Amino acid sequence: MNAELELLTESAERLFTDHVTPALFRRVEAGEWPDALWRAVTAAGFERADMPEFAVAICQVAGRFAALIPLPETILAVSLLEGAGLAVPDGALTIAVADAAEPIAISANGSLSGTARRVPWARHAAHIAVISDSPEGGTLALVKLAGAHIAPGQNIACEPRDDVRFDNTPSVHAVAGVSPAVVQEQAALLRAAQIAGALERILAMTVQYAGERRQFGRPIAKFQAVQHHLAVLAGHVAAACAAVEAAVGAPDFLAVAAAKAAASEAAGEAAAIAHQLHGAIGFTEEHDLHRYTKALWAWREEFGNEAEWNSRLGAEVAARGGAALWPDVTGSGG
Amino acid sequence: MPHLSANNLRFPPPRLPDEVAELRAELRAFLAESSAAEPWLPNSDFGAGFSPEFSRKIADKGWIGMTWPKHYGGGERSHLERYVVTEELLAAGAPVFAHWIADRQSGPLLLRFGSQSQRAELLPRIAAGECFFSIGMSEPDSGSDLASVRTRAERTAHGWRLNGAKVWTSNAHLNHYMITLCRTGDAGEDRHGGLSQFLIDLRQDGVTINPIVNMLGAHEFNEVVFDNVEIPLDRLIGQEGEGWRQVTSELAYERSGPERFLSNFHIFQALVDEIGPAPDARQAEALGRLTARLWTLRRMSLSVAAMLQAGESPDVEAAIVKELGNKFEREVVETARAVLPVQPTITAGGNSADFPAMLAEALLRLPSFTLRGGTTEIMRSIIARGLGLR
Repeated sequence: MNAELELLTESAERLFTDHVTPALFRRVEAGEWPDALWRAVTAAGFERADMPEFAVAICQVAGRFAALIPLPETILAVSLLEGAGLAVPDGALTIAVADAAEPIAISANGSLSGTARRVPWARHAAHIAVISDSPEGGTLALVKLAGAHIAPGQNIACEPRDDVRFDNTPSVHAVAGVSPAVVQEQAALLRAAQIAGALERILAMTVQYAGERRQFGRPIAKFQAVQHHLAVLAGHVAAACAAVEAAVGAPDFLAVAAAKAAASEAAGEAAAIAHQLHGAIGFTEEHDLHRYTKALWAWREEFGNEAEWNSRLGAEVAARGGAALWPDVTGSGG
Repeated sequence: MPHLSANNLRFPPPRLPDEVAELRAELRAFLAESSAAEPWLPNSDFGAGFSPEFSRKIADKGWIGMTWPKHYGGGERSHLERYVVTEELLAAGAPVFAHWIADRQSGPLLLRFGSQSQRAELLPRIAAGECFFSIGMSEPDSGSDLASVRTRAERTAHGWRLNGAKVWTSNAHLNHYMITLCRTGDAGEDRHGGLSQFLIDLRQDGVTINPIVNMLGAHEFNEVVFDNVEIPLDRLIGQEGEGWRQVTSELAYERSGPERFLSNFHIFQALVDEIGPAPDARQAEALGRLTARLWTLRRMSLSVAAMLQAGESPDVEAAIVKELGNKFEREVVETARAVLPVQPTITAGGNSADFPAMLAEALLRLPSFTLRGGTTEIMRSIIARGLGLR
């Protein structure tokens, strides 16, 4: 890791340690906007982290704290706007990638019609970057959320995931030449980074707990059955983290598909082992474990779960044939 | 709060040197030409098996002992370049077993611990593809518990006298030498003392090689019995009593390489073609899952190669690669039978390019993968130690 990246992750660790508290979780779960945390994050400039290396690093640290903020969404929207040469507005941003099942039409004068489902933090974001597909190519539209109809919803970690309906809603800007598929990959990579961070955290928590909890006269970590559970957990965490880190170097389709699939699959396996080893205390509201496992269960579904990415990747592999498999695997990633 | 970097289990992605692209292209051209001239039928062990002729061709290209010093016949190239050679050979299913052990672990062990004369005598012959090695670790009563070996060497006036037996010794009947771990003194409290390694000529008096036929019906491994085998003084490798430290240093090489997840790559590749360009939903998901896993495992294994290049000892990382890699190899076979209407079928005459026969061979070999080179249980114990639990 280079020195600049190391400094960034260290300062992010400190910031999240100070701000992400059990009290904050309860307030966000009750529907409150984490204002102090968001101010600290923007004061540090984390929402302007460059894609992909710095963005992935910062999202992974945020994941270690299960920080409930629209950080990856804002980072990605900022990067898209800057890439299109557009001014970046103040405030939290969110994104929506339209697909064939839920198309969003953008008219010639730049107004939007259609519904974006489960949009992260829409009710608290000032603007949304909508990436829509059409036969002529993708379009990026920046829209003020004050003018849209928002139906609130949330994911299993209690993060806002709202439906946003556009009804001939005007955009601030609309530019062509932005690929929805590429934006979906970038979003998946940032979610995978958050998952990797949360996985690192639950491994550390579970190892520590197994060393402290005593049964039959010794720490449960001394039992071979428990050790092997932890070794399997470590394998899942290592694979997810390694895949994310390897994808950052050259985030092509295969690398991102592999990274999000590895992270999403590890999330379920790791959460199950972490809960098993924590026993009943980990099932309580009082214990922190569920903050991280809920985040894992939420994030593994978003921007494509493992089944979706595997299916897309597998269709591509089949279409290219057996002879292309090895060259494709060795040619992907940094 | 626990330390947050997940107990330092990291697999930093290496940057492959620029020479690698050219090297890879050279390998692919060589393999395409070789298999066109004399086709091989891959099996799911080490490529298509034991071929001294093929190993000499590999040696002529400079692809054995690649990382060793030039004055020992090596190429002074990086571990990452060697990695590319090994993965290309395995992915093509080339018959590489003859030189594999000597290149992967016996040679590096001699380079690290061998005497000047041992290195000068043996390394150039290994690099030339003329000298093949067996591993002498397991015994009838010592499998996972390696420290319990009972094969014993006693000092004599002129050297050592060896008695005991090794088992599961792959290709002892074909190879030239075995590096044997045996007892030369008291085990001590940690049981790791009093062990030493010797270089044994498998053709010498007192060495009896008894075939053990495996459940595929093939003679690949053996029992090797030592009956008063006289060993000259200069056949001790490294220091007397340091055998445990020496033998465990071999293991990161043995465990992290691409052979831990590419053993049955030919099944995966054939599965893609058997399914064809228009997979159903279940087949597409299954192919994607295998591809994603393979990509991830390869990146982890490459990372371990880079750590070895940097002089680190990534024992725990290597154990993770082996554990996950073996799981993947099983998944390849299980996936193939689950998503295709195919039944593994034994074909008279052994290997066949026919998919049901390939699948049968791969299925029957699966139980060995999670045993050889350290069982899954031992891997998990090593990982647990890395987590600070033991």
